[in-house]
Order: sequence, then C-alpha cells, then structure tokens
Amino acid sequence: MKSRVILAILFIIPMIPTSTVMSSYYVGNQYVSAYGGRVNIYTPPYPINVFHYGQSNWISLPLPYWIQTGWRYYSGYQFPEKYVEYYSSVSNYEIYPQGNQNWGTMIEYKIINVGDEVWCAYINNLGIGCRDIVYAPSALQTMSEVHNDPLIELHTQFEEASYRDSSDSWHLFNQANWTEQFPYSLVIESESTFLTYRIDTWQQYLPLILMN
Amino acid sequence: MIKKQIMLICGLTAIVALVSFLIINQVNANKAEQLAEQLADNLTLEGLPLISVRVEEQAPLILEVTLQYPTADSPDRKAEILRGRHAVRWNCAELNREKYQISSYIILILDDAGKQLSWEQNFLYQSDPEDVPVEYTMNLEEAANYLRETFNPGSAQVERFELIQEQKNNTIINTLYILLVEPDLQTLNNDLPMRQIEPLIKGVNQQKLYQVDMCWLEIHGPNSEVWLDYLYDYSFPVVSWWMADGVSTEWFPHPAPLPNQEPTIIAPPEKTYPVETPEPTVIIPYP
Repeated sequence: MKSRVILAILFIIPMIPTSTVMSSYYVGNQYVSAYGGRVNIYTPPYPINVFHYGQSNWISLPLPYWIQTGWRYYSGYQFPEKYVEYYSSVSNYEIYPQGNQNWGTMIEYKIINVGDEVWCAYINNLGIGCRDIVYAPSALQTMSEVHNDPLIELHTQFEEASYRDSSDSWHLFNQANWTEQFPYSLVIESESTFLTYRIDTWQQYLPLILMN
Repeated sequence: MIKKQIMLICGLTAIVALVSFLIINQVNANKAEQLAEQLADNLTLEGLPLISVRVEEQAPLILEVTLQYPTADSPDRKAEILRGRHAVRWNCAELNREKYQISSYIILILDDAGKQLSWEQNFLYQSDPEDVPVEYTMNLEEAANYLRETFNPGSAQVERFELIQEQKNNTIINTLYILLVEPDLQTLNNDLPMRQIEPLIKGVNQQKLYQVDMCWLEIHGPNSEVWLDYLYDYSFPVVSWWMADGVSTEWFPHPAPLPNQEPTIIAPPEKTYPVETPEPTVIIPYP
C-alpha cells in the first residue's frame, strides 16, 4: 500500500506546475464598451487562505492605463481592504486604501467617465478621486485576480454588474465575455451576477497525503 | 396703505437677505483665498515647481494646484512628479487636519511649454478625531533598530536604512528611508521587497511601537539605474510608485490582459478642465 502511494506521488509530482515565473489568475466578465460601470462585490463569509500572496476583486478599465476599485486581501491582512487604484502615464501607479470591508459584506464599487478622458471612482457612492486616463467609451472588467499561487482560495460574489451608456442610463451587463483561468472558475447566474471560486484539485490534498 | 407696508417689508427683507448673502459670500471668498495663499506658501517652501494655487470653487471649496515639469520624460522627472504630487497631497490634508475646509483639490501638471500633461482630483473627508493621544512604547532609535531587524532585504544590498524625524509646518514627521541595490532584475522580481513595506509600517503603528508616517523605498540596479521609486504614506494612507520596465507587476492589482481586447488609444490631453462635476455623493461631508 505504502509503495503504491509513493509511486503515485512520484507520478504526479512532475505534473505540478513548477514555473518560477509569477503570474496572476483572472476570472470574471467584461463589457465592451461603456461610459461607466458599477458592481456590488461581496467578501467571502469567512476568512480565506491566501498563503504568501493575495487576491483582489474589482471593477476596472482595461490595460494599459486604468482606474480600478474593489477590495484586496493580501498575506498579513486582518480583513479585506477597500481600495482605489490608478495607473496613468504621468502620475504612474497609486493605490488609495479606503478601510476594511468585513467578511460576508457587500459594497458597491463604481467608476464613471465625467468628460473627455477623466474617470472618477466611488465606493458606496462616496467620491474618492478622478484621473485623466482614456477617452470614453471604454471596455470594463469585473473580475477576481489571484496573485501567483493557484492554491489561494477564492469565493467572491459579484452582483448586478452594470454599465452606463452615453445618455447616462444604467443597464445590467448583457454580454458574455467571460474570462476563466484554471483552477479558478465561475458559477454564472447571469452576465451581471456570478460567483468566482477555486475548483477543488488533487494538488490541494497532496500535502495531506505527504504528511500521512 | 397696508399693501404698501407689506411690500416695503418684503423689499427690505429681500435687501437684507441679499446683503447677508453677499457678505457671507465675500467672507467665504476671503477664507478660500487665504487658504490658497497658505497652500502656495507651503508648497513654495518645499521647493515645488509651482505655477499657481487658485480657488476653483468656493462652496464646497476646491483648490487647483498647477505644477510645471520638464517636457522630456525621464526617471528623474518621474521621481520629481511623484514627490511633488505627494507634497501637494500632504499639504492639502494637513490644512484640513485642524479644521475641515477643503473638499477636494485638483493637481494640474504642465510641461515646459505650458501643455497639460495630466489632471487629477482627490476628495478629502473629515477623519474621526482621536480623543486620546497615542502612547508609543519605543523611541526613535529603538524603532529604527526594530524596523531594520524586521525588514528582510533578501539578496539586495542595503545602502541606506534610516528612520528620520523631520519637522514640516509645525508637524513632526517620521520617515523611513530605504535604498536597496539589487544584483539583477530577476532577483528583484523573485524577492519583491516592496511587498514588505505596507505591513511593516502598518504593524509598527498599529502595535503602537512608534509613529512612522512615511516610507520612501528606492531600488537601484547594479549600475545605479533606478528600478523602483516607492512611497507609502501611512497617515493618508496612499501607496504611489513608478517602476522601470521589466519590474514585476505581480505584487499589486492590475487589469487582465485579454487576447481579444481592442487596444486602448491614449490620446494626449489637449483641453483644460474643469470637467463635468462628479455625481453627487450620498454623504456630503462639506461644512
């Protein structure tokens, strides 16, 4: 029995991804294109394990320059943290932490174009800041992002993801531009409401086998 | 006769209301101008390339700060802009700390020729005043030792690690300065020492060991090339940085690179703002 376990381990160890190149995993939806977007993002009902890295769950303009708002939870954090992030060619990178979002709670995150290239970020309708980023309309992403480690847990509910049209009216996302990167996946209720989560894989249980 | 008296009273009331409105308006205008002047003085003292500080709007009070930097992009210019924008942010927040007055501030950055390089607006909110002054358990030297022992530079050579106490506008600021030299980009991208800064500074403040307000981290390559210029301001809080091409982006949130994504066209700004006023917020913190 013991030799079978050892053989099994010898067989499966080479299949574990060993690349040292760090990368992020993304899972969520995208809307093309809009003058603003908002989404209600929940934190998981219980603390999750992010090992030495972390995750963020947000609504954002796409690359190369962006405004983004959501919550992030990194190694060493006690609670998920609300934030607004900007990246523009002159101001470069900025993150404005906005306090904690407790486990099992929902907050509305919003980005809106207010004219020309200027986009503003709001958390629960409270204005945080504005930057000149890119002319509207633009694509919008509502996603979970997991840094570097596919063992990091994920369980984030996105609800009522909406876009703003050129006449300032709000509509629920109605496009299915899904992004899904193994081992992270989605439970889709609609294009605007979905759950991002981590698929159970044998890699999670390997350390337990090795310990026994 | 009574009709005439009523009309007279109404007229007088309207005149009194109008005069009161004009007086209040003038007082607000004077106060706003005074704040703008004070901010301009503070920024000039810091040696910023200041063009102007003007009152964009009186109620709620919005100040607009215009700075000028060289046209040609370079690491030096990026570093100067990073420091300049932080100085504006810090001074605006400081002006608000004693008595909440500024609702938001705009930073305009121009090049040598006066062309607009960037525009931004940041909103300020009243923070809860701390009733009891915090007592810290360490002194400056002990805190510096603690930080040095706790921070892990990995494979980098530590060129500078100093906790410095400075006085700015009658406020004492404790800033941690770190300069690291990494042997190569791959080592930097494996170690990512910048990931330690936020938890380190948060920890020392939240455990009430010592008040550390800011941390400047510079990471250089072996030939003194700047790879990262990073600021964490605990008092605000904000993290801002610029980094050279090739430095990992896997330590902060960023959008997904989608294969079918249409390239985003970045057009240079030509117009000056003001733009449409942002949507009204649910909480109106203005006095």
